Amino acid sequence: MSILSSIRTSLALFCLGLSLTLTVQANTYETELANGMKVIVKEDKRAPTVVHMVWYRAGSIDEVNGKTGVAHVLEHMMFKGTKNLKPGDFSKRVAEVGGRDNAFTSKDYTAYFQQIEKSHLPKMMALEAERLQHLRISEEEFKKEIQVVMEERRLRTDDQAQAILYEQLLANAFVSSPYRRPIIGWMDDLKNMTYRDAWQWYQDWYAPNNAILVVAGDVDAKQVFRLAEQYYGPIPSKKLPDRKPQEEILQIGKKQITVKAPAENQQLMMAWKVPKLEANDLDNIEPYALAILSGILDGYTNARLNKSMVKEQRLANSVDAYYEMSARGPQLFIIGASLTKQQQLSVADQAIRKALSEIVQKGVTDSELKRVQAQIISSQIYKRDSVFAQVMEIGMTEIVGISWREKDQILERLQKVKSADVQRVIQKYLIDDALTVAILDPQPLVQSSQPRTTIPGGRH
Amino acid sequence: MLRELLVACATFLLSTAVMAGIPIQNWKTPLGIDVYLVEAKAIPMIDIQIDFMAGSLYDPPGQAGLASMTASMLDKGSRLNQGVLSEDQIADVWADEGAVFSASASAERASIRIRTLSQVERRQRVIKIAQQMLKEPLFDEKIFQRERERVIASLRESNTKPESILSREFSKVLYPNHPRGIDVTEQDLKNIQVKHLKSFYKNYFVRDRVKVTIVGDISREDAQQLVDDLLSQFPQNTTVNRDLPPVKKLAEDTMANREKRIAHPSQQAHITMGTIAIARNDPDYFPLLVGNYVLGGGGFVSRLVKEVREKRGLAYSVYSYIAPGKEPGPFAAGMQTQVAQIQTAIDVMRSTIGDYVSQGPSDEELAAAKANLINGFPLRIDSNRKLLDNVASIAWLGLPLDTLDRWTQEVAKVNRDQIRDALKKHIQMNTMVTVVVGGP
Repeated sequence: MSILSSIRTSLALFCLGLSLTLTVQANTYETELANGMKVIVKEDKRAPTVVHMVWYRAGSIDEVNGKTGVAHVLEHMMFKGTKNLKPGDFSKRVAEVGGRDNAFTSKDYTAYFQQIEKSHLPKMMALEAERLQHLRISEEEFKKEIQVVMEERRLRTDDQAQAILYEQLLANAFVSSPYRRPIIGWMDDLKNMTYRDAWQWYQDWYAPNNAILVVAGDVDAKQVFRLAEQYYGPIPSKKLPDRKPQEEILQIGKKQITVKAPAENQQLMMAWKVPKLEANDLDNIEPYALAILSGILDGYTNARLNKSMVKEQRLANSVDAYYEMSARGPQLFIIGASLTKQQQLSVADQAIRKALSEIVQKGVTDSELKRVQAQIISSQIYKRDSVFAQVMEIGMTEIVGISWREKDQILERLQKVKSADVQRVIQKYLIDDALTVAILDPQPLVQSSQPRTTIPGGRH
Repeated sequence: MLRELLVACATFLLSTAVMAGIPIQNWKTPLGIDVYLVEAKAIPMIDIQIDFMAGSLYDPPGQAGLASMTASMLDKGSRLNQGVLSEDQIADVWADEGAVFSASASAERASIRIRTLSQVERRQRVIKIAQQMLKEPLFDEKIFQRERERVIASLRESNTKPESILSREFSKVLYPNHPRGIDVTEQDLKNIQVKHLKSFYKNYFVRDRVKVTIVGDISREDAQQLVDDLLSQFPQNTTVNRDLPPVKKLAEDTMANREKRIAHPSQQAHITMGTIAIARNDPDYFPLLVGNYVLGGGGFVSRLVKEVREKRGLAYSVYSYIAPGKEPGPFAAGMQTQVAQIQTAIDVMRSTIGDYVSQGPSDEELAAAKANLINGFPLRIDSNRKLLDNVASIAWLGLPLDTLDRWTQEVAKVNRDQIRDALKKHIQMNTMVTVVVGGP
């Protein structure tokens, strides 16, 4: 067993009052197996249950044109049999021990999990290790499952006006980045996908050195490390394909698109290209300032956009600001609004711009900053009620190349953001040259509308 | 905040709570309020749920949506002494405290939920603002107009979505001539006025038969004080009649009369079929629970998933469930498939359900179902949030306090004959209604 590092972190320090940090890192331990698989364990002994989750650094960002959706299709095929398991046996074995299992694919990763009573952890590791090394993909099973995936696309995207709008927004905002392609894939690519495409994807990316194991719950970290060594340790590592950077080109002017789809209310989405948190530059204040900005605009019921656009001016029935700080690919700062009847799009557009320019001119108040900070801190405490949410937090941080150990410092930096930082990121990034506007033009329901087209995270 | 977190920290280190048996405390406060408490001190937070008998079943004719609108206005301003506590002030206080307030109405109950950090001064400030909000809600005309506009906009949006249309139409056919089958229309919402909200609040938000469930870092003594602080300002009782008409089982009918098809331009048709089955206190509850697991409750391993998804690739999602309440609730099964496959899908679902109802599970299926339900029981109660849901449900349905402790034993006792008998008795195929939204 090769425990490269096993660190019991900040809890003790924190209790001594040496740090203002939260307890995200408390009772978390890490090691790496000789084959390159990272293992992270979070002990939380409140209830006798465990979440076991394997994250592969292979998502739609790693796909190429003509094979969009293959990461997600492979995720489906991972339940369809291995050398020692017949199709359907995987879920049956998990169900036998009372477990719940599923998987999800995102732009950045594919993850598989089981929730179980704690004594069944070794069995789950045996199953997950089996399909990491010995998956079998038959043409017959593939042909049925690809139909299921196409039904999933119809359900989640093609029949959902808002999902089509979002899909089109990404497809138009990004040019050279693979983030322009939907996770679930274009329908035509799904229709033309073969079992060989799925098999190649598996061969390329499913390797212990491309995986992170996260286990949380009523476990002993040392014992989990031993089990991981036993079940995952013998799997040989692979040489992974080169990952081309595929950086997004510089946007040099505003873009605007309109999507017509059956719906009732007009929607407006404004998306600006903004920086994200880079693993090698965690001190850069800009991503934190953007995160705080989204909180100032939409982080609580009475936040600026809701107050001005929904409550006071009645321009919108709902309005949201969205920014994800950490990701493998380029990020957008998105403001979306569902407009009230007969509302002019230009008026809503102006109201959003005014909310931003007011901050640029007058800054944000201390009480607003304090309020947003209170949301961040309380939500971290509430998150401790869910072992699953804790696994998600660790996995999503690690998968973009940032250590879970940084999480407390990240939270601290969020708390250091000042009004001037927020003003600066608006002036620097929320500018027309970096903007893509997507408008939903609602259409009446009529029979035989043309074929239409997700919200991130296609689930198995 | 720092001091508070330090205290939290100590609690975390000391606590190694393992849930062997769920210690639910239940008592009546000096005010006569029925309280259910689970002390869970590992995390410095408290969840509170207050359930009033004020759900949408009490909407007057022509004013469907009144219960929901009333609940949604509770955090939108209140009278305070001679002045007013505004909507904005309320929202800011909850945000400042990092606490969460929500109020909503389901069929039977209106539920107020409060989540707060447990540090004493903070908790007291949170309870104080809740008290001030609930004492005399403003039901301000202008704010009400705005909220109604928003509800109408979302109702119209939902009228374009096959899944929403299906869910409303399915309720109509399951509950003919019963408040549970009544649909909220735009006209209903337009009929509602502020005076109706005020009288609904006065008549239905009363202490009589209210249930309070608390899970988290609080002692029994403090919980009792908190409950009486929150509820003392509500009237003891009401003069309105809160009895409801009983839910009737569906009668046998011809296939044609039991099927409703609604055209929709979506690419997929959404399909649901079902009938009225049992109430939660029915002795057949556990046989049907286990029985439904095999049919469509067991996720990837169920018969419906095998037949519809795995063998034929007809759908992404297919399932069945039972939803028993105080009154008999439905058994239902649902899926979505591309329009060209509607009839195939319906046929496969019907024959899968029909075969299963007539034969029941195999020994192997029964063993697998029991193993899953029993071994997986800890996953049903492994967070404060899940405990809150379970205990509030025990409180509302008036189930015994040891319901969770006995749950696995009850599952273990179920045999094949009981399941087969219960399926035949409660899921009669010739009462089963089908609704399809989608296709020409």
